[in-house]
Amino acid sequence: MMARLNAMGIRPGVPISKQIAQPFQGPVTLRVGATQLALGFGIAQRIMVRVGE
Amino acid sequence: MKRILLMGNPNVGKSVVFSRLTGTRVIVSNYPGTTVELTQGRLKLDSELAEVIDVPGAYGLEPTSRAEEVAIHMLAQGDLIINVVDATNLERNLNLTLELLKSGRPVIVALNIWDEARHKGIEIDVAKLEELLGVPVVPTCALSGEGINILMSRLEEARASTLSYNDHTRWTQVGHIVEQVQRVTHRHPTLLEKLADLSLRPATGIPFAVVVGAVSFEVIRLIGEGLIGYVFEPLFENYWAPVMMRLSELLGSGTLWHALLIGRLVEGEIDFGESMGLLTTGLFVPLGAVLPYVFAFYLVLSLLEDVGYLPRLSVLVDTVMHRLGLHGLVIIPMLLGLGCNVPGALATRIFETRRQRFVAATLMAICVPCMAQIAMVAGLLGKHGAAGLGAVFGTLALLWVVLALILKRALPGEAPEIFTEMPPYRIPYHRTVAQKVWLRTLQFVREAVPYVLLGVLIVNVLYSLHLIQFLGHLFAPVLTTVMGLPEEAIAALLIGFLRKDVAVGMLAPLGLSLKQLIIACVVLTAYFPCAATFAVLLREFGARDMLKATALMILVALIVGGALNLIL
Repeated sequence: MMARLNAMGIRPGVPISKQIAQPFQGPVTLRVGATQLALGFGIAQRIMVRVGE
Repeated sequence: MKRILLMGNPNVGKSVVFSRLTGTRVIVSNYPGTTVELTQGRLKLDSELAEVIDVPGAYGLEPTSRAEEVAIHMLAQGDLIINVVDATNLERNLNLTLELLKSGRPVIVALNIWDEARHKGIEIDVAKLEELLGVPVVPTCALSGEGINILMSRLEEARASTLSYNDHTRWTQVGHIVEQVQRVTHRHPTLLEKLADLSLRPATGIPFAVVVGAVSFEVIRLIGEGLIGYVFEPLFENYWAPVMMRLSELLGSGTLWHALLIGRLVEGEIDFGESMGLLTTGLFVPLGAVLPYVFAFYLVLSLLEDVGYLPRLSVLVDTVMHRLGLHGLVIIPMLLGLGCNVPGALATRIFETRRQRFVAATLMAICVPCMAQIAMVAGLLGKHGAAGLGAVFGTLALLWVVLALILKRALPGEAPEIFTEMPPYRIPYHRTVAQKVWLRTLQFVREAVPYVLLGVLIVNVLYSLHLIQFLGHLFAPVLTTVMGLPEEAIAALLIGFLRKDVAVGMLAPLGLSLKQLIIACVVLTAYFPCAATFAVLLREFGARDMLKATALMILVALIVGGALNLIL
């Protein structure tokens, strides 16, 4: 899974923005660089972020 | 012969480039994972002929799905790699480019979707990129064909790059390159982007999905019914029927040839639905009754695919699908399966695990009727109003959910989570859509006509050998006692192994009640896939798994058939 996230451009130090979360722990849509991704709740939950501005 | 590979991230337009280079027509769409098989074509380079292979997309060289596995496996067998890169998403795409460069094979980069990048305010210094990567870079817009000539003429310049980097710092390297070659001007979100956002937010997205579904259904029905009512039926009745009547007189009723070609006359006339001759029912079923619906369905599906709606719909239904042990992308094989189960079965390759692929394929094979079958069911049940159709498709939908839950319990393994890219919304390109609809419709005709003819032939042979009657008696306990169907229905079930549309058509002359029709249509969908689908499933999953799936199918058909007989 780490390799997969990495290949999509989600890696330490990179800014990502959460866009839309589906209700009832549904998938989360986020943007990293020019890519818009949908991730299952479980994966999204395990991505640690530091809140930016 | 030199082997050229087209490689790159998913949904960057590899198949469009492939189609442009080789003149081979392939299906392209706007979502990751359209291409799940290797497609081969030929390209003439100077005087030499080269083989071009369209490889499924991959994000990196560590496989995460069956389709990616295929892609990465191919890398070792290529002499030259055309790395197709999405210019609107340079950074992520270059990550794979750098991995490909490290393979030491000659590479040329096609900087595709160039036009859209410019519209988005992205400027890329191509000369600089070429210098930094150490391989040729050609901007292309494969949909319109721009840049393809230059790409072809520069193919021989492809070379192994001297760029060296440490795997751990690959992204840093990518970052450096992007910083030096790309300039992005900020701009406001476009209407399409706003619509994309709207269709993904639950509050607006769910009503939007309902509207899309309803409109799609109505459009398919309108086009299908319209084409049948105003074009195909008149053609058959006014032009083909007289020819057939003449032939009937010529052959003389009662002869073997008459029985085979024309079938039996109903009140002295040819009945295209019931005559069961090769040239009457055998041609009318695939071309007159089914083709219009198949065409209409593929038109609507292709538009939805090319806009980029399917991944968004997947996200909306993911929450529910996850509870069923699947994830949202499962709707893609199901929707393709509604057209024809064969591409539906192949589309399961986008899934990460074998378990997921097997569950999705089994659910599709049991619960998703193909358009050919749906068209015949609609023709058969339509006159009884919406209730009959509702009962058939409602039962199948319910069965899908129940089976998914059972399979979730029965097959251990964690419920995988959705992980997919959202392509931007795009205005469908008319040529791509037209070509795709044409290809799929043609595929249907090629597949359907021979099988339908074979089916009709077999029916005639079985009847004349009195085998139908024999088998009807043999299976009467199940057929009549459990499901409440007449013994003659065995003929339809036999032919259903071959083709579902003919099988449904064979129910028409039996004079079944509405309840019997509903039971027969549901059972015909569930008890076994058609021969073509079964062959693909066997290839994908092997004999052992298919034995399990087959046992499940027969069991399900018996239980559901019996239950409907009790309830209705």
